[in-house]
Amino acid sequence: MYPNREVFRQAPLALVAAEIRFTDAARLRQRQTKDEVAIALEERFPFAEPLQQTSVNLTQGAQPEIAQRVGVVLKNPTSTESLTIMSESLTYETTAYTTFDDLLQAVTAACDALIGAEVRPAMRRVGLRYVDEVRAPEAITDARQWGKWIDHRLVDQLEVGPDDVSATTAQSVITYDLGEGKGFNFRYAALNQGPIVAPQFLKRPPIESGPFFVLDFDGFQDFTGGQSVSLNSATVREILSAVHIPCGTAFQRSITDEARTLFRGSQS
Amino acid sequence: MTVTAGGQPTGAAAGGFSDYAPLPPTSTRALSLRADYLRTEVDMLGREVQEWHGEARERDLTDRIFEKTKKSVSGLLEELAGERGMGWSDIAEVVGVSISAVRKWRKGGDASPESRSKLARIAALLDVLEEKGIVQDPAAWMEMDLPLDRGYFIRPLDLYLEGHVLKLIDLAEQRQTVAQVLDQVRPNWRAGRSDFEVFNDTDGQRSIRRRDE
Amino acid sequence: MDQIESESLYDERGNVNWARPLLQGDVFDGIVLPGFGDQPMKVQIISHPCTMRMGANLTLRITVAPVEPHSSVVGQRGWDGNLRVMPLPGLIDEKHFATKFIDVTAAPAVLLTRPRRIATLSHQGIYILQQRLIKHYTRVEMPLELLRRQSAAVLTEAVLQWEWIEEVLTEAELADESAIEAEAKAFDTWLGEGDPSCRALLQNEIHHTDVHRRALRAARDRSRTRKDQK
Repeated sequence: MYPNREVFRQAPLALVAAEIRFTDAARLRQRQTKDEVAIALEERFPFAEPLQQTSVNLTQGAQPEIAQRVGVVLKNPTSTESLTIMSESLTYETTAYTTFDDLLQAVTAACDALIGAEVRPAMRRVGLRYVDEVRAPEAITDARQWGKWIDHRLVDQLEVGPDDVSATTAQSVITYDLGEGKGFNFRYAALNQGPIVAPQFLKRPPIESGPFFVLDFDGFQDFTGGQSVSLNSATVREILSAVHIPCGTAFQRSITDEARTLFRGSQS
Repeated sequence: MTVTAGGQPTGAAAGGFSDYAPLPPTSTRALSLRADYLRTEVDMLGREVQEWHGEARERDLTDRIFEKTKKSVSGLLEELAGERGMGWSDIAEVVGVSISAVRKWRKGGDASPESRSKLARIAALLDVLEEKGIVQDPAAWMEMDLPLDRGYFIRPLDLYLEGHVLKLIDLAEQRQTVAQVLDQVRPNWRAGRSDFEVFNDTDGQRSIRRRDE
Repeated sequence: MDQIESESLYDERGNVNWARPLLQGDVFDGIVLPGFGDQPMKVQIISHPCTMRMGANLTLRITVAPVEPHSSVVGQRGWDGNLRVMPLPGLIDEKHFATKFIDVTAAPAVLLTRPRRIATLSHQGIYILQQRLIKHYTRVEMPLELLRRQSAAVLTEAVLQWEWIEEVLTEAELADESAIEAEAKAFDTWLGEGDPSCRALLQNEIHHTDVHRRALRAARDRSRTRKDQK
C-alpha cells in the first residue's frame, strides 16, 4: 500500500504492463513448448496469435541492426489482456486494469507455465509500467493550463520560458536509483497528438488527436553481475510488489484534487 | 532532463554535438505503446523505428502476395469475386483495367504480369484485413465511406488506390482514428468537404441534395 | 470539371459484348433519328440509368443525343472549352467525336439494338457524362464522388446482370439477342424475390458483396439446371 491510495472510477490509466526479460530460451522457439505454455494458460488466455516482430537496435553513427523475432500473443476473451511470449521475454499488458493482485496472478501464472514447460532461463530484468493519459474536460491551448490537474511541481518549470506565449509541448524523464539494481523511471509529458497507447492486439476505442498529459511510471529490477537468478514466480512477485509502491506514490503526488474529482467521476 | 518537441533542434543538423542526456538505459517494453514517444535530440530515432515497423508489415504482405501470385488468374478471380464478393467493377477499379478486361479474364483470357500482381496484392490485403479480426467482410469494408462527418466521401479503397496500404491496416486495426490517418495521407482532406449529400428519394432511387448543417 | 483519358473513358469500343446491359453513355451507329432526316446517325444514350427501365424492360423511348465528328476534344481546352458536348476522343479508329447536348431527343428503344452498339463507357466515364449533362442543363458543377454514390446501386445491378448472363448462357446463346433478353428477365425476377429482395439490399453498399456472392451462386445453379435439362 502507498499513501493516498485510491481506486478511481474513471482512471486515466491507458495501459499497464509487466515485463520479464531473460536470457535466450531456445525451448521457446519450439512449437511444442509454445503450445504447452498456451494450454497451461488457456483458461484466462484462450486465444493465441503468432507474432513476428522486428526489433531494431539503433546506435548513433552505426547502421541500425534489425532482428526478426517470433513469438506468440495470448489474449483473454475480451481482448483486454495479453501475454506476449518471446524467446527472451514475457510481457503482460492490459487496457482494463482492475487490481494489482489480479495482475500478479496473471504474471505469476505465466511464469509457472513457462517453468512447467521446462523453460528456466536466468532473469535479466523485471519491470512494471503504468501509463496514464490524462485528458481534461476543458480545452487546453497552453501546457501551463495543465497546472489545474497536474501537480504544480511538474508544470512550474514552464514558467521559465517567455511570458505571453504558449508552451505547446513539454517532456521530462527522471530516473531514480532505488538501490540493489532497482530503479524507477518517471516520464511525464504534455502532448497534443494521437494517443501513445495504440494497441495492436488489445481493444482500445480509437481516440481522437488532442491535448493530453502523460504520466508514465516504470519500476524495475535489473539483474546485472552477481549471481544469476533463475526464472521463478516468487522472486517476480516480490520485485513487482516492491516497485509497485513508488509507481503508485508518484501517481498520487502527480495529480491535483481537481483531477481526483474528475477521476472519481463526480465531475459532469 | 527536460526537452521540448519540435523537430530538429538548433545546431544539430551537422551532427555537431551528440545527445548529452540519453534516455534511461532500460524501459519496460510493451507492444501496445507507440514506438518511443519521447523524442530526444535524435528525432530521427523515433521516425526510423516507425519506418522499420512499417517495413516488417510490408514484408509480411509481400510474402503473402508472393503466395497469391502462384494462383492462376481464374483462381484469383474466383477468390475475389466468388468468395469475397467483389464485383467486376470493383476488381476493375482496383487493378486499373476496364470491366470488359475482367470479363475476359473470367472467360479464361490471360492477364498481364502487372495485372496479376495487382490481383494478388488486393487478395493478400483482404486476407490480412480479415485475419486482424476487426473487419469481417473486408471487400465490403473497402467499398464503404469511412465514418466521418457528412459531406465526406472517402473510402478505404480510395486510400488503397493512392498506395497507403499500411495505413489502411492501421485503420482496420483501429490503431489510429480515421481523422489521424487522413491527416497523414491526405493533409488537405478537410478542404474537400462537399456541401451535398446523397439520400434515398421518394421514388426509391437515390438523389443528391444540398446538406443542411 | 473533370477530364479523362480515352483509355479510361470507355469500357469497350468496336465489338461490344451483347450481354452487357444498355446503359447511359452507350454509343450506337446506324440510327435513323425521328426528326433528324433519314440518314443513319450515331447517338449516345443520355438517360440516367435509374430512369431507363420499367422493370426489366427499357422504356418506350430513350433519351439520346447525336454524336458527330469533333476535332478539339482532347487536352484541357478540349474538355473545358466545350461545355455543350460530351467529348468522345478516339471513338472510332482514333478519330474524335462528341455528343451534342443541344440536340437531345427521344429515340424509340427498339432502334437501340445490340448489334448497333459501338461503344460503352466505363463507370468513371458515365459519371463524367453525368457531370457534363448537369452543367449543361443547370450550370451546376457536381463532384464525381457524389455522382458515384448516387449511381452505385443501379450500376452494381447492371454489372451483376452482365455477370449473370455470361454465367448462365452458352457461347452460342451469347450471340442471340432474344436469349440475352430472356436471361435478363430471369435475373430481374431473381433480384426482386424475397423480403428483403436483393434489389432492396443493393440500396446499401454494405450488402453488395453478399448480394454478389448470392447472385453468382444462383447463376451457377441455373446454369447447371439448364445443362441438365438439355
